[in-house]
Amino acid sequence: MQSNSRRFRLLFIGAVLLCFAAVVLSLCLGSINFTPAQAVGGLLQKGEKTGINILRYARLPRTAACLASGTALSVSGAILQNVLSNKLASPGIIGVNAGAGLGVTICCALGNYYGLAVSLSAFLGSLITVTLICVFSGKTGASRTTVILCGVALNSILSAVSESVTVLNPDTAVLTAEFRVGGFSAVSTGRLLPASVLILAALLLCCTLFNELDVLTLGDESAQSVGLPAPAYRALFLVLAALLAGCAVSFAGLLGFIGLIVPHLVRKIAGNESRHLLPLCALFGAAFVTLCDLAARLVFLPYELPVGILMSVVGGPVFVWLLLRMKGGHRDA
Amino acid sequence: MLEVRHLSAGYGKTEILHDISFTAETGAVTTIIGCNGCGKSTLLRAICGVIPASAGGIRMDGDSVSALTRTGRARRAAFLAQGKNTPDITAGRMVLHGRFPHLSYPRKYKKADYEIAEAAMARLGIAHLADRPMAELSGGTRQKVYIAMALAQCAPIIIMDEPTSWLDIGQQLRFAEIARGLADDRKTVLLVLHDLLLALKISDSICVMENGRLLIQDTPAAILQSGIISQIYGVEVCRLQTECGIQYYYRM
Repeated sequence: MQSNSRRFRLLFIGAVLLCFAAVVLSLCLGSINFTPAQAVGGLLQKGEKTGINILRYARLPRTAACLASGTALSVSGAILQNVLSNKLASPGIIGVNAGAGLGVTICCALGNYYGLAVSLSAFLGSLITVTLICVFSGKTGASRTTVILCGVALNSILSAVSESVTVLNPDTAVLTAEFRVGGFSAVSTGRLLPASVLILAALLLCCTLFNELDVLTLGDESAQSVGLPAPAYRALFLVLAALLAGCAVSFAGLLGFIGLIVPHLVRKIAGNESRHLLPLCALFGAAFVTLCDLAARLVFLPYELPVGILMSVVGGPVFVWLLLRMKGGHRDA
Repeated sequence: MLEVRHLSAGYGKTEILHDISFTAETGAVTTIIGCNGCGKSTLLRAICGVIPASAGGIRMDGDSVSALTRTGRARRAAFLAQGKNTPDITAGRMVLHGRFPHLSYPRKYKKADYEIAEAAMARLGIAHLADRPMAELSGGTRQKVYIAMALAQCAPIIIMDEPTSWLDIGQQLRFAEIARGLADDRKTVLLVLHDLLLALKISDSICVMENGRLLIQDTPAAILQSGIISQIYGVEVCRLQTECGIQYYYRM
């Protein structure tokens, strides 16, 4: 047991350093480059110079959005995989992101473009989606694969409804193509701040529930035999997963793959125990999205890709590679 | 001591167990036997609160379980279920989760919990497997990990559903010694076993079930003499006094 803890400590330190490096690079590199000293100086200085404004009003919120969404979606994916006992589950695949997207679309159609209302609408949309999936799997005793297929179907339905609302209501034109694939070029602090507070609260609560999440994976009978009310805790974790994914979608759009790729990578290098899995998912997820966003900004300068496109391009093949390498991976489906 | 009185329970509106009463004494091994589908596992689930009782009552060491919290019940009775998930965690962590009912929020395992878990693994001879992932272990070894988890729960009542499934014959006999050792440690041991000969050999008391009802509870010798085994299983079991003690065998 001690060797696992030592390995975790090393990985944790590595992840923190990677995150730090990603933040520095994200702040320093772009259409205008800064040295780390210039970036720090610019953020601390007062004034209205162009460089300072870029750092303060573009790079800093964008980097914060990358960190918050990467953390939230990765942890949400890891929780969903454990609670649904299905490693193919992730907020993007089972329709949780699409539910959150519909929530944001309806919220915008009602005239609320910023603030807590957007975050809560996204949370409500993702929560309803998760509830529908759980009701379906609970009522029908559906297999793990069926649950995923049900999520995929819900994903399509919810995306179609979102598109219909966008077409029928011109006010939702603010939801650009970038929102539908996920991106940070137009991230607003009006959406980022309330969502980040909710994400932080959900993460702190998750950090006190590592053992509960692990015991839940033992199965209902075993969980209840050690005193854990399994249905209540399953509902709590699904609410937390929906809150994390919903809040991320509210400002980052429908980012795919992150909730699938990062938990898989972390499981491979650090194992499946939640006390290791969730903190490392949070850190690696934050670093992964920040670095992907940086690449999306730099590769086609002066143009930039929405990061969601880059993630799909990178994430899809990586996921297939992981599946092929996974010994006995078919058991998890 | 575990007392079950006039217990009825089932799934949804379907009642599987009808008016069941029996007692599992402290310091004794009590075994429930019966044909497939007679309600043995359902009875254990009802006792452990996995499914609700529709009538009757259960007392653990004199206290009604209806007055106990879920955690309080888990501290009184450890339950090894028949169908179990294989979580993607190490064997050591799995056994450690047996200490879960003894923690309060925010639940964090302490040094004493690690020591108890390690002792439980050592008792089963699997201490060296603490860092091995559960998915990499054989069915028999995995079963030992589950048993160690139940032992780590340190409950006065230990309830196990088919604990010898997946174990080879040597391991089954080793388990029999462990069950007897637990009873000698003044634990109440309640088992469901399909192996009649093992049940007769290790039990102090046997409950025979058929179609959701308890037909009889008595000592192995009295159960054998009553002829109820041949009545419900259609096989004849004989008893033989040997230099190694009493042995049981099937007459073909």
